[in-house]
Amino acid sequence: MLDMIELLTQIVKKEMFFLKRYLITLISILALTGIIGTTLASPSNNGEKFVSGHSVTSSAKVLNANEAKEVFGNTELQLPSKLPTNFYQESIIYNEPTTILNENVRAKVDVEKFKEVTIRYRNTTDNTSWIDYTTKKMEIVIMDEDAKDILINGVHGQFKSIPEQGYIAYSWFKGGLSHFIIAKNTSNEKIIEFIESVK
Amino acid sequence: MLNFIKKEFRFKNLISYSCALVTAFLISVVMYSSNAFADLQGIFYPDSFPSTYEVINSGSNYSGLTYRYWRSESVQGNSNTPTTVYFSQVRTSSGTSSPSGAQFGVYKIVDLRDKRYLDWYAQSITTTKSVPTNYTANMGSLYSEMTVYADSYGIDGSQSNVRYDRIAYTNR
Repeated sequence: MLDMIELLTQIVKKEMFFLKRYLITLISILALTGIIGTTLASPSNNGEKFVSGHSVTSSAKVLNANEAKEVFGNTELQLPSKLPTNFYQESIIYNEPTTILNENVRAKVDVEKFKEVTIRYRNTTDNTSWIDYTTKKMEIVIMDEDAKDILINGVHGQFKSIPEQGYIAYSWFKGGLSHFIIAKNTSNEKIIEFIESVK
Repeated sequence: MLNFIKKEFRFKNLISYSCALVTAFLISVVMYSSNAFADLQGIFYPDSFPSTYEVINSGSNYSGLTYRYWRSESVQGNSNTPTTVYFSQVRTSSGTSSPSGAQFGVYKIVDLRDKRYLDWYAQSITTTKSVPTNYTANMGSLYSEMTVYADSYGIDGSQSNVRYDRIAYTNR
């Protein structure tokens, strides 16, 4: 036992220089990165703080018609029964962003409300003419200052146009779902007919 | 002095320095994955200080188009453990797309409702733009999201190339 302790002591003495350099270097690296990190995140003299980071990027998931109908469970997906002439249903995409929320938050929210389905209807004669129709359980609000309150499909909704770029947007909440449309290079009359056929 | 430096670069000493570097790296990995540096994962923890959260956003499509831009969000919580967060301004800058063509879609702040801003809609990803958002959001399940059409035809392109760049705000 005494021999073992003596052997260990000799090994430690021998490796002391290694340990000394190792610990000094490790503590210096951690201290330096800690100081730099704290400085970057610290409030400036007037109390304002700058923090950098990286967003989380996800891709839209492409769905078929049957998959789209199942997204909202018992709530039926409402689709237009009338499309403008030469328009066809080109694609359906799905966005579910809740994975970015931590587990504690996800456990407390109704994740169904975050799901959204967007269907693109495109004009076969002009591929810059299309209607994007988004459905979501959560209420959608257009926040732009020039968005107008209107009556649409019998409920209060919103309207915004960007005429110089050829875009028109509508938003309304009916039947337990938000309906949000952005259309490009499509006449407002055709868009209204499309909206009125959504059931 | 030269002899001292030569001594320090002996093989045994280089092993100590390398072990220290590896240990520091492993400690960082553990802390990173345990959310100690969660700011780097798209999650921020607002407090009562007026703060600007600057995030780099990057993505690609299946055909090899890549995009990148900076987005900064100026926010302030109502306390150091906020129940609400005020978004005063959002700014995009330094955007690139290779090949060119990627465009912004809708910008959203999502808490109990989905608040959409069309100020960036169909703008090139290279657009530098500041928008006063002036919105007080509820903490709880709060995140912001910029839609990007990562397609050389931008908004007119394939929906399969839509990307969503998100950051979440939560309390520790």
